[in-house]
Amino acid sequence: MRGVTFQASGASTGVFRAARRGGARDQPALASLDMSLAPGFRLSRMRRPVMTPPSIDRPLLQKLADLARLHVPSDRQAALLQNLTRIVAAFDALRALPTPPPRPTETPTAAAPLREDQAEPPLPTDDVLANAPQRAGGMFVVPRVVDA
Amino acid sequence: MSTICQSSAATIAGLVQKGEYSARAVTEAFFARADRLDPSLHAFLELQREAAFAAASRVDDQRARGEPLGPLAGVPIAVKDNLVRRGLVASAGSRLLETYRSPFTATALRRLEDAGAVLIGRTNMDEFGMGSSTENSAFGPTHNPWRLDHVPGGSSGGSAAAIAADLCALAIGSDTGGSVRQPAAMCGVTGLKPTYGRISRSGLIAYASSLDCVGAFARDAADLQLFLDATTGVDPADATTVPKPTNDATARTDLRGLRIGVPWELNGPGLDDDVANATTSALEVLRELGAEIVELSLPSTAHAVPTYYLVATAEAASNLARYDGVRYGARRTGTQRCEAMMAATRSAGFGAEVQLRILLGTFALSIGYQDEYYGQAIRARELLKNDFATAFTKCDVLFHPTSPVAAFPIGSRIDDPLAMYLCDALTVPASLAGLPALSQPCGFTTDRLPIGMQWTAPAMHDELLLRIAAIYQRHTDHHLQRPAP
Repeated sequence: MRGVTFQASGASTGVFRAARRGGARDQPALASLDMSLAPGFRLSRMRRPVMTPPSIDRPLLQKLADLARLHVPSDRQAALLQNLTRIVAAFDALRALPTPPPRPTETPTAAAPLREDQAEPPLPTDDVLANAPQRAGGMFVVPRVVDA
Repeated sequence: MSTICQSSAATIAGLVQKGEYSARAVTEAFFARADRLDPSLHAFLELQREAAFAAASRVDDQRARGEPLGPLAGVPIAVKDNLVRRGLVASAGSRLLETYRSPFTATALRRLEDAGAVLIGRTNMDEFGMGSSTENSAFGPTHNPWRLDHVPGGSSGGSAAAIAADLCALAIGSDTGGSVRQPAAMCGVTGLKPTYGRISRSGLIAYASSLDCVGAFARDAADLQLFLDATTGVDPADATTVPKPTNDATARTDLRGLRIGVPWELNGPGLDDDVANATTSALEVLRELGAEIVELSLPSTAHAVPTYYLVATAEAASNLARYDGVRYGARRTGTQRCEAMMAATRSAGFGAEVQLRILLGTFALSIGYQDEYYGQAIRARELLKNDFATAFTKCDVLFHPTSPVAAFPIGSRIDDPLAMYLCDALTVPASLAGLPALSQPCGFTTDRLPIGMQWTAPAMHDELLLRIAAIYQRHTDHHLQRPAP
């Protein structure tokens, strides 16, 4: 496996006193991925038992490709499998967040201001269809979806 | 004419307003410089001469009629290829959108034009914003003006290179996980990622909607205030936009009493030596200018990179579903069935990194894995937001390097996605929390590549960042250094 860390630095002048103490505290951001590659990383703070990272095998890759409407040719499957496996393994420490899990953040905007509903003229149909590869009668044309 | 190309946006607008330069003359000067230098940089995918001269003529005509000119009158601005303009191509660096012409103009660009700006062309980028080096553009990499065989950073690398080489007076980018700040650092210019929601995303080709922000590059931090003033505010076309804040940072004229938070996790371990030394020296300067240094911790940043890449790829997998060969771009023909056509079109149109991220996002959202991956990521995002909130009870702004490394050679990381993702370790935390952040030059490596330092402020305090950056500039000259022409 190729290394993914950056060279540790000598940044230990006065203003980074806290940084120098870092080894005894939580993981620095830059080390997290590399550390997460090591089995048993942060076992003591696991919210749940350590789970084996899912195996990204060819059937799973095919399922993901089908869901994503992608065609992965056979000569690219090995490289994709290797990359996905490495990434998912490196991200696995995220499954071990401290308890209790807080509410999720799906968007950083707490409350966008509401506005009155106002009908606006839509974009002209011809403008919207101008980029369509195939169109007819003011509509998009696609190949057959269902059997006759 | 080279002098005008090295002037600040504010200076150019002043000259045009006073009639000392026509907007057309300014535009011609920048196009002449781009014609000379861009063949070796590849910062631009297209110089849009016809539209630019039309805009410049409108400014000159306004002045001839005695009408007041906008604050960006005649200022040539380069625009990242993922912001759309009516009738012009915007491809997001993707082969799939190579011929796409938008039926409308992005709100941010419309507001810039309303302020008198002249949009001169679209700049190169990693496809759909997915990359940290601009090597993932379908149209070839951009070269760093400081060293042509090095990357400019990414994904807004074309905009960063264009401003660093004086090919424009302001450059617009977008920042999802650091795509303005990281290339700003690598090209030796100043880059602003505003608070999420301050600038409309309408007309920004989506990558990850809860993270995407329109941002900008300038050589002079004060120019970014002009950009922010022109573009910020509520837009009915983007429900996440927020009103202009009432807080005013103009009263701050020095750094005395400013509490600068230094999170150890982002300042020490893992940095390149030159980066660590430059930011340490910058911090000493800031202390001498009267700032108070507060050491603190942001523990959840340990999870920031996985959190970001799971949230961003999950949103990307959803956002990019629209490129199905039906509504936009080229369709891969030769199949009789709709689903096969979609898969063939997407596989031929998307580059390798985009396909990898779509597959990763699909994995994170798929049944059996959603709660373990995407669910955990959005919970970790809340932990990170809480860490920032706690930190800002102890300090006014946060300080750390922008990138753990300076610009690296083209081709040296492109085959290792994880190594590339780590380049974003210092920029994704502010993105996940929706906070304003700014990168500005603070030094050079021993082999003379630029290094950037990063500021982060509480939400809606973008102006404070711009004031601090301007004050730092008054006392240093890193921002005045230029690559050899």
